Amino acid sequence: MFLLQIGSQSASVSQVLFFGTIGMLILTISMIVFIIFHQRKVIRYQMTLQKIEQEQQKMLLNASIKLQEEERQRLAADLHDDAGPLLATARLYLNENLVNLDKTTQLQSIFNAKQIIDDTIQLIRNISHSLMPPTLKNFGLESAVNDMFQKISGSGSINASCRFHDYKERLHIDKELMLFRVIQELVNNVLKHSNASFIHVTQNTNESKLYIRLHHDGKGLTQADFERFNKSASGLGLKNIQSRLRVIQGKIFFEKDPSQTYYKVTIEVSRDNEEAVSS
Amino acid sequence: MGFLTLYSYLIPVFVFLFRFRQNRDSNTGIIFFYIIYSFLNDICVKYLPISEISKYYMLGVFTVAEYILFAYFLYSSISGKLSKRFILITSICYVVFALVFSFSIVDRKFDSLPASVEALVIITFCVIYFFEQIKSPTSLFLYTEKSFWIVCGLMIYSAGTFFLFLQSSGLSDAELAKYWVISQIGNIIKNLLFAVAFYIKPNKNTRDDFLSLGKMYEI
Repeated sequence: MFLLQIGSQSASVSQVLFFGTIGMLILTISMIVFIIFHQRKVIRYQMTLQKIEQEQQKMLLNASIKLQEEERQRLAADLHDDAGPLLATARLYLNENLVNLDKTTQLQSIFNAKQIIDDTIQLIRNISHSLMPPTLKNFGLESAVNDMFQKISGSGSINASCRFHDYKERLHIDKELMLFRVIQELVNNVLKHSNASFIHVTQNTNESKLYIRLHHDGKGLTQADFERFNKSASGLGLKNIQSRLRVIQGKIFFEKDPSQTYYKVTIEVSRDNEEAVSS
Repeated sequence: MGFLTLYSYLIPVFVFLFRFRQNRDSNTGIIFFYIIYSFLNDICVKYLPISEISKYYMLGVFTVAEYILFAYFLYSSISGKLSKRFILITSICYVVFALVFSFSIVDRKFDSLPASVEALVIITFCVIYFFEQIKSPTSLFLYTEKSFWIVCGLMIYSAGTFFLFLQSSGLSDAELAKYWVISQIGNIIKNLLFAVAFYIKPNKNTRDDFLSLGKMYEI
């Protein structure tokens, strides 16, 4: 209406027309240009974000490959250096010449060979247990963690305890194994780096999540440290924790207690009841 | 200039026919239909020996038809439910207003108010289209979309002619003829942008496709 009133004054009509049209065109063209540049900026930003994520994934993948390789090398070394010589010695005791020896020597050789074979069986069992703890397979995560903590406490150097508050329904075996490996890695880190006097693990659940909390009173990590290690080339163990948790869609939080007396690590995984193994 | 404007309609028409196969599936057909109608309307108004009142009615009907075609194009290019509803309600109100206005007041040469309101409403719809593109882009580069060029054409034409249409009722015949060049330039730019829209190949790559392609090559 205001513009129409202006329009009635014929002297200013051309001015309104000129400036109005120019103004509208400038606004329109600026808007189009802004939209084009804004869209480019947004896409560039998203691509940068994706690149960072890809690099992180690459790091995790490398860490997990490296871990596998290390595990294979350890297995190969155990089999080659321990099982190989034992079996070769047993073979020496049971060579073709044994039949030509006297009965006492024969019995002694067979006894020695039997002992060596027993040792080899024990060795292979130990290797197998390190790959998949039988307690975990047969009795579940709670027993496996208890077992591990009893062994650690038994050494007398650190007080390790654990308490599962609500673990009536077992998780899927693959998930349990992953969680066990994560706990193992965390405990290993505490033992190696923290100089802690105690480690305490608790387990809790709510409707859909399972929480495992690890407390210790030594030197620890905060979430910022954990993220920094994840982005850097070092911290292979932490990257393995991250990649294992990614497989089971879990989360991990590192924090220092408000009282500044101990560190707390919380692992959060979803409870998928349809896959659960009844204990 | 009038001659140039009239024949500038033929550029997008030829481009559309030249690229008929790739324009066939998109909603650019609406714009093609508009160009043909606009061209014929201009010829009729300019060359047919008809009375001033008939010309006024023709222009009145043309304004409403032009609005309906533009609004329908924008309606089909926008995906937000709320925006679509807004376009629909505004369009109904506008069509009723324009018809009532054009056919009740016939002492003018040009339907100034419906045309300026049309320009304003179309600009609003174009802003909604751009806002939607910012919020959830449908393709990697906006300017590879046919609809982008058409909306640019509509917006520049509407923005350029808004003040002219608004002021036209207060202008004398001589002044109107003098300033009508703005509308003609706007028309030429619009037709050229429509021709660009008809010429470009529709971009099948969405932004997500591009990002996933990047991911594939990175790892």
